[in-house]
Amino acid sequence: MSGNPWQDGRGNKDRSITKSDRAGSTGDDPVRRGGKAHAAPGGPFLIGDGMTGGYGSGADILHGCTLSVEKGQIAVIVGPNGAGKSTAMKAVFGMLNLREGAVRLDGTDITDLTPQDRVAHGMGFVPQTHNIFTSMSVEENLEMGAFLRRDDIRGTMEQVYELFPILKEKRRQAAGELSGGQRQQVAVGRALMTQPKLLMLDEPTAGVSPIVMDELFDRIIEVARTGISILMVEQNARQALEIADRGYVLVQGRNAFTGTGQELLADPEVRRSFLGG
Amino acid sequence: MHLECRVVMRCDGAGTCAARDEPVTFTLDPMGAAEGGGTRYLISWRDTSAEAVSRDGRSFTFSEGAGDVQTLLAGNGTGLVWHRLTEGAAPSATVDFLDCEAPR
Amino acid sequence: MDPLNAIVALANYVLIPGAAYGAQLALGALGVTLIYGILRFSNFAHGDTMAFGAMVTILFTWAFQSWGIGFGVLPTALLALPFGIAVTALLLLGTDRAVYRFYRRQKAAPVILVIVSVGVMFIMNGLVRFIIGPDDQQFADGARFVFSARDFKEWSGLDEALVLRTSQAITVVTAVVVVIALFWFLNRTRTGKSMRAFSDNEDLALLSGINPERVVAITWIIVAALATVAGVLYGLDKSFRPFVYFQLLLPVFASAIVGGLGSPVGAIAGGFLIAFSEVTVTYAFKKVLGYLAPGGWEPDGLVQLLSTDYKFAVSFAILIVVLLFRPTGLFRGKSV
Repeated sequence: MSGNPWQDGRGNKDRSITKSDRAGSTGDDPVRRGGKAHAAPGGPFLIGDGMTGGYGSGADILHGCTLSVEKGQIAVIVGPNGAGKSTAMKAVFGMLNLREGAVRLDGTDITDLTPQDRVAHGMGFVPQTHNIFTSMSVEENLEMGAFLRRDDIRGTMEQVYELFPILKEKRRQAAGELSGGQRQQVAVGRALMTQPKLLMLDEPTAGVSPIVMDELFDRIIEVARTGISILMVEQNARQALEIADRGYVLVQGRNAFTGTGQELLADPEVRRSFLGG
Repeated sequence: MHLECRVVMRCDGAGTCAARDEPVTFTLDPMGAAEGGGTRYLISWRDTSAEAVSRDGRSFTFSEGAGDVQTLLAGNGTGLVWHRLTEGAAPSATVDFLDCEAPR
Repeated sequence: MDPLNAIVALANYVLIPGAAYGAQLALGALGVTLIYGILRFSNFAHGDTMAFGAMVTILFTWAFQSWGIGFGVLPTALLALPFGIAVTALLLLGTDRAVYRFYRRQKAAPVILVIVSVGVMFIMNGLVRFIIGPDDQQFADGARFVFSARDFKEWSGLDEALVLRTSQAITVVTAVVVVIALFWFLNRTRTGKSMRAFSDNEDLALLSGINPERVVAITWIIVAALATVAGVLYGLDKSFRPFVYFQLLLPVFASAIVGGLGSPVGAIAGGFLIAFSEVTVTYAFKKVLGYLAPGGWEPDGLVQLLSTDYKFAVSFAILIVVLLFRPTGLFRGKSV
C-alpha cells in the first residue's frame, strides 16, 4: 500500500480523505464512521482552533495552529514549502487526526465529523490535483458535485455558469479535454454545487499561467461576495495576500504571522522572509 | 447440397442415449477427385468448415483438425448418423441420429 | 462470377455466426470491463458466473417446461431469464459480502483480488458441475429458424442458402436491447453517473458523497444481469457445457482488453473484433472464392487460414498485437 503507481491508477492518492487508517479503526465503512456534531455558538464563522496532529499515527505536523475566517471573507494560508499549509487545511476538512484543538463552523463543533459529513454540513473542498472527473462532461461534473442534494439543482448550476461562462459553453465536453484554467473552474464549480458555506481551495492556481491566475482570483473574489467564506492555500503568496481579508503565514506547523492581507504585505519581516523582499 | 437436419437422439460411445431436438444444417460442395479414388467435398455446418472425402456418396469422413474423426452416414429414408470421435488421453465418442431433408 | 451466391455463402458462415458470437462476447466483456472500472480487478470468475447464470436459467426453463408454460415461438429460457439474473445477483452479492469486501477493506492490491477471483472461479465451477453436472445440456425450444435453408432457397432461387436460427436473431436483438439499456443507465441516470464518477476518481466521488458500497452492490447486480444474459444466449446458440464457459474466459478477456479495460464501448467493439477474427480465420473460403473467381480459376484447396482447432490462438494473437501497439486498448481504457 505504498505510492506505487501500478497499484492504483486512480484517485488523488490521498488516503486520508477517507480516513482509512484512522487510529482505533474498527474496520467499519470509512464513510459511516465518525462522530456527531455539537452546538458551539459564538466565535468566528469558521475556526480551526489550536489544531495539533498529523497523518495516521505518525508524528505531529501541526502544532497549535489556529485558522479562522469570517462570513464572506477570504483567508489565505502562505508559507515556505513543508510548512504544513495543505496539512492545516486538510485538518480543517477532517482529513487527519487532531490530538488537540477543535474545528467549529457556523456555531457547530464539527471536530468529530468525517470529511463526507463535513461536506453535508456546508464545507466545499477542492483538492490540488485530481479534482475533476476527467471522463465526464462538465455538466456531469457539476451534477456529481450536487450528489448529496435531493432538491432542484438547476438554479445552482445556473449560478455556476454565470460565474464561469466558459463552462456553460463547454458543458457537454469531457472535463479532461479542457485547459488547465478551465479544469480549475470545473473543480471550483463542482465544489460550489453543494451550496457550501465555506469553500476550501488547495493551491487553485498551481500550474496555470499568470493571466489565468488573475482571472481565477477575480472569480474567487466574486464567490466570496455571494457570502461564501474562502479558505485557500497559495504558493503565489504576494498575489494571494492582495485579495485576502485575512492572511496566515505558517512555519513548521505553527502560526508565524497573522493579519489582514495588507498588513502582512506591509510587514517588513514577512516581506523579507516569505515574499522575496 | 444442403441437408437440413434435426438431432433427434444423442448417444455416447458406450451406447447410452438421450432424446434431443437440435437443428443443424450441413452443406456439401464437391471439390474434385481425391487421391486414391473418391471425391473431395467442402462440408460446412454452423460456423465450421472442413474437407470431407467420400468414396460412394453415402458416407463422408472429415476432421475439424482438433484430433477428431467424424463420419456422416446415410441411414434409412431421411435418417442420417453423425459419428464423432475425439482421440487423446481420454478418447470420447458421440453418435447423433439425425432426421434430415434436402431442400431442392 | 456469381457475387450474389458468394455474399449469401459469406453471410451464412461468417457474418451471421460472427455477429451472434460477437454479441455474446461483447456482453461478457461488458461485465469484465465494469468490474475492472469499479472494483479495479480482472475478474477471472466471470466465465463461471456466466455458466452459473445460464445454469439457473436452465433449471427454471425446465421447471416452466414441465408446468407447460411456454413462450410461443420464442425459447422458454427468455421467460426464465429474470429468475436466473435474480439468483445470480444474489450469488454475486453474497460472494462480495463473504469474500471481496474483506479485501476491499484491506485496500488490497488488484493483483491480490485477481488471485482471489481465481479461487472464486474454482468454487463457482465446482458448484455448477455439482448442481447440473459436467455434461451437455439442452434447453432450447420454440421455433428453431427465423428462416431455414429451404425457406431461403424457395424465396431467392439461389444455389446458396442463408439460414437464420432463432437463437442467432434473439442473441443480436437481446444484446442490442441490453447495451442500449446499459448505456442509458450509465449516461442518463443519477446512479449510473455516480458509478462512472466512482470509476473515474474514487476519492473525489467520496468527497461528493457517493456511497462506495452502494456503487459496488449495483455493479455486481448489473454484472450478474450481463453475465446471465451472455451465458444464456451462448447456451441457446451453441450448447450449455460448463467447461465451454470456462474456455470462454479467454476470448471474453481478450475482447475487454483489446477494446480497453474500463471502456464499455471498447468492450463491445472488442467482442465483435475477436468474434469476426475467429470466424474469418477459421472459415474455408473455397466456396466464396469459387463464386467470385473467373471460370476455371476456382481454388483447389479449402482456402482456410487456420483449422478450427486454432481459434483460441486468434484471441491471443490479436491481444498481443493490440497490446504491443496500443497498451491501453483501442478505446483508451486504463493501462493494464
